[in-house]
Amino acid sequence: MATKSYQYLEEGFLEAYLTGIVSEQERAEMKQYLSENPEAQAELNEVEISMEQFFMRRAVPPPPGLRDAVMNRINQNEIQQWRPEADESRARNSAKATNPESQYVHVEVDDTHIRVHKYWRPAFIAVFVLSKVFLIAGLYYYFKAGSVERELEQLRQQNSIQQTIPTRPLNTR
Amino acid sequence: MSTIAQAVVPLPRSEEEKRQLMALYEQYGSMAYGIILRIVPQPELAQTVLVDLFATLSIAERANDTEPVSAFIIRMARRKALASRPGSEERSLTSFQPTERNLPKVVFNLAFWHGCHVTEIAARLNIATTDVLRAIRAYVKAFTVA
Repeated sequence: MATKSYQYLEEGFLEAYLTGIVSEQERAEMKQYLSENPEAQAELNEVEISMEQFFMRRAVPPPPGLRDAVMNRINQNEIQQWRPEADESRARNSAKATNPESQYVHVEVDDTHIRVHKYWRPAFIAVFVLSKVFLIAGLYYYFKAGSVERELEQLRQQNSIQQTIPTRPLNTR
Repeated sequence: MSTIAQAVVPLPRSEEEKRQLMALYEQYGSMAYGIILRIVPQPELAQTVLVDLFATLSIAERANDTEPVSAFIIRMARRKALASRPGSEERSLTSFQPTERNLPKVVFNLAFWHGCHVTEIAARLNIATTDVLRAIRAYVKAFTVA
């Protein structure tokens, strides 16, 4: 049992089990092993957390309309047994892709939303902030240039007044 | 012509079960769609697979299982996507030439995204099955620091 435990914990069986890579027989063996080994179960929980984080980072939000499609299928009030042959037949039909009236769920027809990459959000915020900064800077320099213009005008006027006053000689005696 | 294998067995779903399924969809729908879309790059087909996934999940079956919920969703999403993948029979692995550095990633890609079995990967890459499992472990361990 010690050898098997080492194998499961050190040789990657736990990770393979969690990611669903193992065969059904290996999965059954692993379930049995986990039910008897709390230490392995604890390790499994740790790996699960990091694995969930990994796949959550790669999550892609489905189109909003798909939620209704899922709800409708669930509300058909029956559990349809999963049939691999149904998936395979769908895959074959998809590969042919000749029939425009296919069995695809056209969920985005009545949808008014658009889906963009998540990096658009910080990009949009950055553009918005930069536009505000440039607007404020533009207004500041506009008013500053106006006041400088007025000061310059005043100085010019003072200068021209001084030039028009006749200068008297200092010693007229 | 209908056979026993093709028959749809109608079982009533309780309101509680429907609510739980929708809660699972809310929580893990994006994650499952990300996995499915990576395996089946056609969005329309991927959406069909996603709807099928949550419509055919069995809460009762899962309740008796020790497998964590997220792992269950990941496993089922991968399984359904691989089964629905067009042209899955003629899988080409010629583009995977691992180096020592990227071996864990290559092995994980082959195993998880391409649905290759451990023994198949070992034979393809000319390494031992234990090395394949270790590579998967190394890659999954790296999730925490990624």
